[in-house]
Amino acid sequence: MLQALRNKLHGWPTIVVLGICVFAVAFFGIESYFMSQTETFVAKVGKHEISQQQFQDRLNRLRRQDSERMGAQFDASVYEKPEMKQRVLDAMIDQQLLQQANDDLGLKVSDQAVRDSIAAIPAFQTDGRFDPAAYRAALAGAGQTPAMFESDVRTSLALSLLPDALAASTIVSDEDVQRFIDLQMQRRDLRYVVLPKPAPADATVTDAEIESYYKAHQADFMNPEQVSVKYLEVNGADLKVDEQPGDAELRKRYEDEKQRFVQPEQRLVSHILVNVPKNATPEQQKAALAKAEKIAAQATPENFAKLAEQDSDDLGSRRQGGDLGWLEKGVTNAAFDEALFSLQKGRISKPVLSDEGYHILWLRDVRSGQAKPFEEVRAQLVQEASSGARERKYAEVAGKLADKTYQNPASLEPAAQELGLTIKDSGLFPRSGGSGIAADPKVVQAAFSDDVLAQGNNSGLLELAPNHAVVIHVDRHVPAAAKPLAEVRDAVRQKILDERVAAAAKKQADELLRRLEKGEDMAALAASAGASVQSAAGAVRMQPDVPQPVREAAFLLPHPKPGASAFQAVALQDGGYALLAVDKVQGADASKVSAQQREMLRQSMIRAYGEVATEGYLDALKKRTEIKVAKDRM
Amino acid sequence: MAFDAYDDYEQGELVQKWLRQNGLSIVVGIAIGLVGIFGWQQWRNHQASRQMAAANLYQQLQAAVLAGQNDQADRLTGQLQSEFADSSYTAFAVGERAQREVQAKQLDRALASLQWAEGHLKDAALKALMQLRIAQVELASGKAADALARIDGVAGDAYKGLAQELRGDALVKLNRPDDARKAYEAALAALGEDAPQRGALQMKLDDLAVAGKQGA
Repeated sequence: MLQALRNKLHGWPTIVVLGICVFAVAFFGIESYFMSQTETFVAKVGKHEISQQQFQDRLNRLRRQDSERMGAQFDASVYEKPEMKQRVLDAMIDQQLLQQANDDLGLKVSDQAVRDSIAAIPAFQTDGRFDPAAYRAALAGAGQTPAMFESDVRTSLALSLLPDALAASTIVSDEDVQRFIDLQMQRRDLRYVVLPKPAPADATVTDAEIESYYKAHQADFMNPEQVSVKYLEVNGADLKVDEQPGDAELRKRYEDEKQRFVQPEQRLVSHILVNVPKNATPEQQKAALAKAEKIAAQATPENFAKLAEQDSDDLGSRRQGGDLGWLEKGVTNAAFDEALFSLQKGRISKPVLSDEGYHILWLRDVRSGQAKPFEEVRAQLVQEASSGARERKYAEVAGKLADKTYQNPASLEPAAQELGLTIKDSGLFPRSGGSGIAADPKVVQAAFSDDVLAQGNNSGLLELAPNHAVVIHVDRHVPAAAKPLAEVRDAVRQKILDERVAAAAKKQADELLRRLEKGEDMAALAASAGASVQSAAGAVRMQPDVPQPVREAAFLLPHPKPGASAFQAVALQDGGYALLAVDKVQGADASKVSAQQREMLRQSMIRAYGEVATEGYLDALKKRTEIKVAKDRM
Repeated sequence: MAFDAYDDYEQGELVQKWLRQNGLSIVVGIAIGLVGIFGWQQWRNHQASRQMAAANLYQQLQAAVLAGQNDQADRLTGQLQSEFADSSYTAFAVGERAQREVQAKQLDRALASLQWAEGHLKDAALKALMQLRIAQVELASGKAADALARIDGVAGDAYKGLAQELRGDALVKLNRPDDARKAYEAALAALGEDAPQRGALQMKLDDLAVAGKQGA
């Protein structure tokens, strides 16, 4: 065969054709080696790529969850910020690392864990128990098969395998717990003196001093940046709705919506149920019927309640003597309904078969259905009609307002003339908001926005409340400026005096501290300063009767040597000082900690250290896995 | 190649001769290849089912721990140790037993458990974590110097927050407050801003304050 081929291979045309074929085949597919490969991943963890699609899906899901959770306070712009995106991506990378670690370590999610976790989802339960039918129905509703859903559950459980295993094997000894308790509930014996504030060294303040202080602390005496706006307001409640609906129109409305004004017939009923199991044999059915007939024969309006209590299988109603209350048509099942609504008042029925079994009914009372006449509901109809008209009117005016102010962005005049609205003035308000419409954060935000403040345009339509909106235009802009000296002279003088007092107090406290450390008696020093010593033995970190700065300083002081004390001067919140001595440090009062508290503490320490261990393990994974992040594709 | 020299018959003869000479090796080669592929698959399946079995036992163990049945938990751990000694789950289960032993004040047994777990783990990062836990138990049983040496032997910056805090604890025991302070400071620096034990760690550090630089 090859010989035959060779025999025929003569002449240059054949060779050319063959050559072309060889060339084409030889280089087929080679272009992919030369073309630059386009990468589309957002991050690459080892060999696994996190695609843009996956990243966007995750971002969208979080955004949706947040918006459901926070409702009106939800701010979608948070999800556009790079830091947020980075955080979401970091979490995805961590999850990917954990998955890869599971594979490396051979950790799998057990079937039992998947089963338990699915059975614990409330949507698949009826009466607190897992219900396979509900499970399949819920999945079918979401367009998923059990296999798909189970695999999702498995994946999400896999993410907590390592963190859980690391936390469960975290070691916290009794000694660790004891050490924490001894620190947390440490007791220190304190003595302290709150020194009275001394008089300032020099109580006269010269004008020159005031001026130089004012110049040096200009930033403390500023008026904030303010704007005032002119605005057009449209309020649904103030709009005049002239058209009063005519009688004919109202009557038509009444006819159309008659259902709303009719109360259906209701019947007051009691029943006795004789249960028939779902898959009852004919014998069981017969026995149930016989029992039901016997009860029906005995039953009279006088003894019905008692019979129901004795014999009814309906656990819900038997305690109430079988009472089911007032029922409308269509509330219960068809057979029951038919029997109930064909019964005469005060009569007891023969056994009626429904899905549940045999019912014996006693119709106690009837409330016939009644329609409210047109005259009675006329006022309501008028009100509904006019509020509908008001809403339409509001939508119309607000729409026109938005249009006109947008077409003439530099002024509110044209819109005001066209719509017959008056231009109002808000008065000056700072960025922190003001009164009137300036109390609304939307208005403040719009007033200080670049478009409105810097470009001088009209704002968009700002909805303050349903059926209430404004459009604003900046009228006056007052930049932040220093308050004039004349206005703040007294405040400046007070500040200077305060500083002098504080300096004198510090000097006094330091001097007394020096004498204390030299070994002088605290009580005598306190008396010389006109104060007395307070003491708190065994004070804890949260000791309520000791001033907070003293308390905090006390627990930052070094442990005193036995028989000696540690001293400090402590600045108080009001600018005064206190002298502090710590005489003794001891651990927690063991009698105040119950075994149960210890156990709870141990559990929370295990959780905390387990979490840090997981983070440490993730750090190690990050170090040995090649991770690329494409920030530009985020 | 000189095809001209042979006609169709001769070519056929040549092919047959070649097949006779090499046929056996070809068949054996294909057989080895097939056995290899199937064997590999079998091996993978076997591994996967073993992993699954270990996962199931571990899950039962967690349920037993949750229900407070420590005897049952110990029995399951023993079963994991004898049947799945190479599974990571077993190492975690044994580590968890060590935690129960520490709680029951059987520190020697806890130490043995942790050493078993450390010896059977292959992952370097998990080995390092187990080393730290061994050091923790050594410290609890009063061997602060051993614990310190062990912590310093853990390579690199692994688990820096945990390691440095533990180091500080050991140094406090050894009455070297200045070094302990440095260790706690390093631990604080390594922990994240929102780590749950920052407060406790800061208290440990504050408690070592010396005159002149409170709270340092």
